[in-house]
Amino acid sequence: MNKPQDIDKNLLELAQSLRWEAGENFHDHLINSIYEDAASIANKSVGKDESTRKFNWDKTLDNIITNRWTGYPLMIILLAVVFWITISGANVPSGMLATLLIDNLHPVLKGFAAQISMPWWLSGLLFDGIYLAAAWVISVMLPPMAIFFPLFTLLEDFGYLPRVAFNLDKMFRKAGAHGKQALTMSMGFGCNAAGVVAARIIDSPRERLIAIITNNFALCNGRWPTQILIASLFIGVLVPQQFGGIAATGAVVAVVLLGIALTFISSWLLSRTVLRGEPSTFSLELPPYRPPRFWKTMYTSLIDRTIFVLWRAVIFAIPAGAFIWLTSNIQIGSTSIADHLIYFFDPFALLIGLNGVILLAYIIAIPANEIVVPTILMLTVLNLNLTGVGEGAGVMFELTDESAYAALFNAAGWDTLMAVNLMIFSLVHNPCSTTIYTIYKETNSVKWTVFASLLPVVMGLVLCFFIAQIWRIVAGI
Amino acid sequence: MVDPLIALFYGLVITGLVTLFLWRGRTYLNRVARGKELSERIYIEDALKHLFDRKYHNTSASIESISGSLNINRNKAARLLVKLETLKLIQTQNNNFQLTQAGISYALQIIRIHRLWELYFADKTGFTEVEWHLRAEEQEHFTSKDQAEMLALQMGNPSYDPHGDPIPTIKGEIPPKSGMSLADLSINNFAQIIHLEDEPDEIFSELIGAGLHPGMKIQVVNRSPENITLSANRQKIQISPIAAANVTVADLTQKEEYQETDDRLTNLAIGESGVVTQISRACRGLQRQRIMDLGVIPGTRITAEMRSAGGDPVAYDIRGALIAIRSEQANYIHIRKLENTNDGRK
Repeated sequence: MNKPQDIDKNLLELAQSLRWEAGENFHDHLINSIYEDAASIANKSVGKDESTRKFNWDKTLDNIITNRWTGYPLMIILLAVVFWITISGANVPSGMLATLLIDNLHPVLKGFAAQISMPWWLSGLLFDGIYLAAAWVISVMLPPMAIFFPLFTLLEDFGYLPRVAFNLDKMFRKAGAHGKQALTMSMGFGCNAAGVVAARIIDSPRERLIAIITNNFALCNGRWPTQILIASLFIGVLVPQQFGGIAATGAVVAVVLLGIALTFISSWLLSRTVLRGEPSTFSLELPPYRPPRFWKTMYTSLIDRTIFVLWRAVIFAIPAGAFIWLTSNIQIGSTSIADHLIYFFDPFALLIGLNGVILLAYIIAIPANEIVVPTILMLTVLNLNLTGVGEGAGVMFELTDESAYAALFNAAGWDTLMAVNLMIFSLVHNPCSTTIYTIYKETNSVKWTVFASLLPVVMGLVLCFFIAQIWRIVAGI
Repeated sequence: MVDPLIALFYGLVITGLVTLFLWRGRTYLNRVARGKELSERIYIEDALKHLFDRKYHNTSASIESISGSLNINRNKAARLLVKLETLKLIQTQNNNFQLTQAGISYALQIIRIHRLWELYFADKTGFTEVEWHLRAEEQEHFTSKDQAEMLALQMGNPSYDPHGDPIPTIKGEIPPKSGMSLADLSINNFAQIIHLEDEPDEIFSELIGAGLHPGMKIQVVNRSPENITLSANRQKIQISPIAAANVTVADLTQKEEYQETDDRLTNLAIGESGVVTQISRACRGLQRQRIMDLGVIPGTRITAEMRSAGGDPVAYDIRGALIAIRSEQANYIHIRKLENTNDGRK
C-alpha cells in the first residue's frame, strides 16, 4: 500500500501535469458555467410576459433620436435650449444674491467691525478678503449650477444622454476617446469640477483619464462672464456699432469652438503619447426611456452636484480671499507684495501679449474663475494708484457699466491683442483649485493631477506667445 | 519690447526641441542609462534564451544562429560563447553547444519573466501585439525574481503567454513541445493555431497583419513555393512559407472539431439575430472581461437593434439589455446567424 506522503506526491504531480492541459481558456469555461447556472435558475423562477412587445415605443423614439438626419439637429437644439435657460435664467438670482451678500451684507459686517473697534487689518482680512471671496463665488456660481445641473440630470434620467454618447461616439473614437466624453464635456460647460466627477460614467481607464484631463477645455460658467465682458468691450467695438453685438457673440462662440477643437486635438495626442498602453475598452448601455423622477433628480443634482461643488469652491475661496487681501496690503519697502509681483511678471507677460496684472490675477484667483475679473480690476486700480475707482486695496469689486470698464482698461494700456489673448488664456489655463482637487480625488494620482494642471497652462502660454508675435509682425509693431 | 520676429524664431526653436525631446527623449535616455556591464548581462541572457529555444525545438544552435538572433557579428558571438562557458552555463563538444543544468535554469527563469511580462502587456495594458514582445524584451533583464513572482501573483499564476507558449513554473518545469509547424501541414487538413513565434519582429508583424492568433482554427487550401493559402473564418489568408514555419499548430484529426464559426457580430444587419459561438482569442484582458461580463458567452442570443447616427457603434439586444458595441469589438465576437429572424423592421 502507498504511504500517505506518496499519495500526496502523486497527487501534486498529477495536478502539475494537468495544469498545462487546463489551457488558457479555463477562466472562460468558468464564466460560461456560472452564466449557464444563472440562466437555468432564472428560467425556472422568472416568468416573462410575452404579450407586450418590449422596445416598442422606445423603438419609435430611438428611430428619431439616432437617425442620421434628425439625430444631430435635435441634439444641438436641446443643448442650446439648456444653455440658454441656464445663462438667461441665472442672471436674476445671481444679481439678487450679489445685492444681498456683497452690496448689503458686506457693509453691515464692516460696520459691525467698526462698532466693536476691530483692528483694521483683522476686519480687512476677514470681511474684505475671506468673506468677499466666498460671497462672490456663491453669488456667481450657485444660480447657474442650480439651473444647469437639474436640467442636465433630467435629460440623463430620461435616457436621452446615453443616446447622445451613442451618436457622437464615432467622432470621439477617432480622437481615441469615449462617446460618453460628450456628456462630461457638456457637464464641463457648467462646471469643470462636476465634469471631472461625471467622468466616472466612463468605464474604460484610458478614456476616463482623457475625459478628466481635457475637461478643462470646456468653457465653464465661471469663465463665460469674462469672455462676454472682454468680447463686448474689445471685439464689439472693432465693427460698426449695429454689428457690435453679433461680433462679440461670434467671438465668444469662436472661443467655445476653439475649446472643443482643443478637446479633440489633445485627446488625440494624449491617446497616442502619454496614455498609450493604458488599457481601453468600450461598451455603452442604452437604458430604456422612462419618465424622469423629478423630485429625486432635483434632490440628487442639487445635493450631489451643486452643493458638493459649491462647498469645495467656498473652502478654497477662503484661503485665497485671505491671500488676495494680504498680497495687496502687506508692503515690502513702500510697495505692496502684489505690486512687486506685477512688476516681476510684467516683462514676460507683455512678451506673450498679456500683462503682469492678468498673470497675477490668474495665480491668486486660482480657487474660482468667477473671481478673476474682480481681482484683475482690483489689482489694476492698485497698480495704477487710481483714486475714486474701486473699494481699496485687496477689496474685489465689479463695475456697473461698460464705459467704466473701458475707461479703466484704457488707463491700464490694454489693446485688442491683450483682450484676444486674455480670452484665449481664460479658455486655456490651469483648472481652478476646486477642479484640481477633484481631479486628485478622482484619479487618486499626483502624477495625473499635476499633468492635468500643467498641460493647459503651458498650452495657453505657448498659444498666447505665438498669437502675440504673429499679431505684432502682421500689425507691424 | 523684443523684436517679434526674433521672439517668434526662438519660440519655434524651443517648441521644436521640447517636442523632439518628448517624442524621442525616453529612448535616448534609456540607451544612455544602460551601462556596458548591463549590456553584457543582456547579451548573456539573450544567448541563453536562444540556446534554450533551439533545444526546446530540437534544432541545433551555432555561432551563426546566435549572431543572427542577437543581431551581433560572428566574432562577438564567439566571444559570448566563450564567456558562457567560463560561467559554466554551457558545455561545448566539437562545435555543439549544450546548456548545463545551471544554464537551463537561468534560461527558464528569464523565459518565465519574459512570458509573464508579455501576458501582462497583453492583458493589463492597451499596447498592440507587436509591442508586447518588444516591451517584454526590455523588461525581462531588469526584473528581479521577487518582482516576477509579484507579477505572476497579480496575473493569477498563469500557465500560458499570449502567443500560446507555456510559462515555465517557478521550479523551472515546462511541458514538452507539442504540435507541428504550419509549414508541414498537408492540404485540406484542419488545425488549430497554438503558437505564433514572436521573433523576428518582421515575420511576427506579417502573421499579426494576416490576422492570425492562437486559438484560431484554420485549413490549408493551397500551397505553392511562394505562398500558403489558408481558409479561416470563411476568409482566405495568404502567408509566405517562412512565416508559416513560425506558426505551430495542433492537427485537428476529427473534422467535427472544426466549426464554421465564420460570421461575426458585425455581419448582422439591423433586426437580424445570431447565437454567439465563440469570442476570438485575439480579444484579451479588460476587453474580453467586459464583453463576457455583459453576458456575451457561447450560446447567447444577440439581436442587432439600431445603428448610431454616425454609423458606428451598433446597439445590440443582449439578454434583454440594449448595449452599444463598437465594430472593432463586435468583430471579435463570432456568431451563427439565425435564419428568418428579420421581422421586417428596418
